Amino acid sequence: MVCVGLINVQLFDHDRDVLRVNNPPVSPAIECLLPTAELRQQRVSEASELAALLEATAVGDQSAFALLYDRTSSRVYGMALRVLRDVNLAEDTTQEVFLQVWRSASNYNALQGAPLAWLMTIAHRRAVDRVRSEQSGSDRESVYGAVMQDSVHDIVLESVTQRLESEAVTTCLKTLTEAQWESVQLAYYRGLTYREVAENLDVALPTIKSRIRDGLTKLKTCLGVSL
Amino acid sequence: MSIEEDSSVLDLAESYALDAIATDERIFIDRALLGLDVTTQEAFAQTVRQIQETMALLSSADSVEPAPELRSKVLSGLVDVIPATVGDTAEVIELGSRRKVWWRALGTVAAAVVLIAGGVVVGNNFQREPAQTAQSRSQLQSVEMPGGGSANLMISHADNTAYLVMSGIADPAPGTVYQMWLIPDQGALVSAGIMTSDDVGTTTRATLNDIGPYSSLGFSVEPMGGSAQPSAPPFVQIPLL
Repeated sequence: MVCVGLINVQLFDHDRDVLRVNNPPVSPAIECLLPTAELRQQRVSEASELAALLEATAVGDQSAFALLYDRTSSRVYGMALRVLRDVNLAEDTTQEVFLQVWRSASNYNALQGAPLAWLMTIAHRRAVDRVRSEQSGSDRESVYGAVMQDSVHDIVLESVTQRLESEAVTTCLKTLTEAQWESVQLAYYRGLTYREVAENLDVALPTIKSRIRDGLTKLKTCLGVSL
Repeated sequence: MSIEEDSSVLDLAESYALDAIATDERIFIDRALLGLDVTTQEAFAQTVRQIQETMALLSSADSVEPAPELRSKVLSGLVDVIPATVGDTAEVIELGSRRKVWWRALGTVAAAVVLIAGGVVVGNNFQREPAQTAQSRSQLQSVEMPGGGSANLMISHADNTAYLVMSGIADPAPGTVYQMWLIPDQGALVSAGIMTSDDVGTTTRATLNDIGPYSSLGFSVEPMGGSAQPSAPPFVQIPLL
């Protein structure tokens, strides 16, 4: 595979602070095509499985819901932990997210996207709402190091899809400039608004907007997302 | 809160998708969108969708296994809450009065497109044992289709219903349809509906009711309009266990 040499980057280093992010320079070799056919197949397959589970969940099937939890909880929890930087808050949020999924699985509409995107959108919104309401900033900062160092060892890639996807993500993140990834991270993983990102970095608003836009466009293209 | 004169709402679609918009500005954008032409609205929605898909993929690289206790907590928390039907707001009702929702008649097929990626499905490599809960008589069956693609059947014995989601299957040959059959241990097969090439999308879904008496779901190729009995033995069978 063309991209193999590029895959071993420390994306899993949750301890990396967004303000100290140190992406390697963009390599021309990154032009290689991602995702692979195998990954695309896995995505379709997983999407169809999760859609089946959501459909059964929508009519109250607890087993289907439990299976859905098993398939997706590490991604919801991992994201929540990264945003909230606190085990208890991340657990609370994960629980809220799955309760919301249980209640509103019938709202999922395949025409509007993949089940995982539906789920992670709900989850991220919850996490961001939570982090903003908890925003007594320094509290979160202080627990961050300890929590994150521990959690690095707990990372589990539950499925082939997740492993392949994780490798693709690692590779694709290198297509972003350091400044682009910094802005995206502050927004997505810190829960800052784009205005706050601009203030935080002391950079003009239009610049931040285009960093976020251009960075995400690269990421989207590299990961082969096209609807 | 106001948006700068020089910035179009469309420029904020990415930030919107990242939830990187303050609540009041989000409301402002939602309102502003209503006043824009359909093309711009769709462009905005498409960007938001794509970025949400993209960020969802990132979650694979961030995944951290939660404590096992969280699983029990989440599952035991379901007891008091029933799923809402479409359009309902969340509500809390005792399980005893749970409503059953049959939103599709036997055999009707709704073609739906999962927009993330095209291509043919090769199968599932990450099957787990079904979770043990109160209603443990549910099962997810995944099979590869002979012509490519996969079929996932979530069988809910408690509801006497199976939910079929197929991905990446080929269109039936011109002039033919796929016909689904509920197959008993003994006796005649019962048609569970047909799928024309119009019904077969990237993802194809069907809800099968009253599966109780049957032991498997089969597929055959039939002439347009379907047949009373399969013209040849089903080319694939999925157990309804």
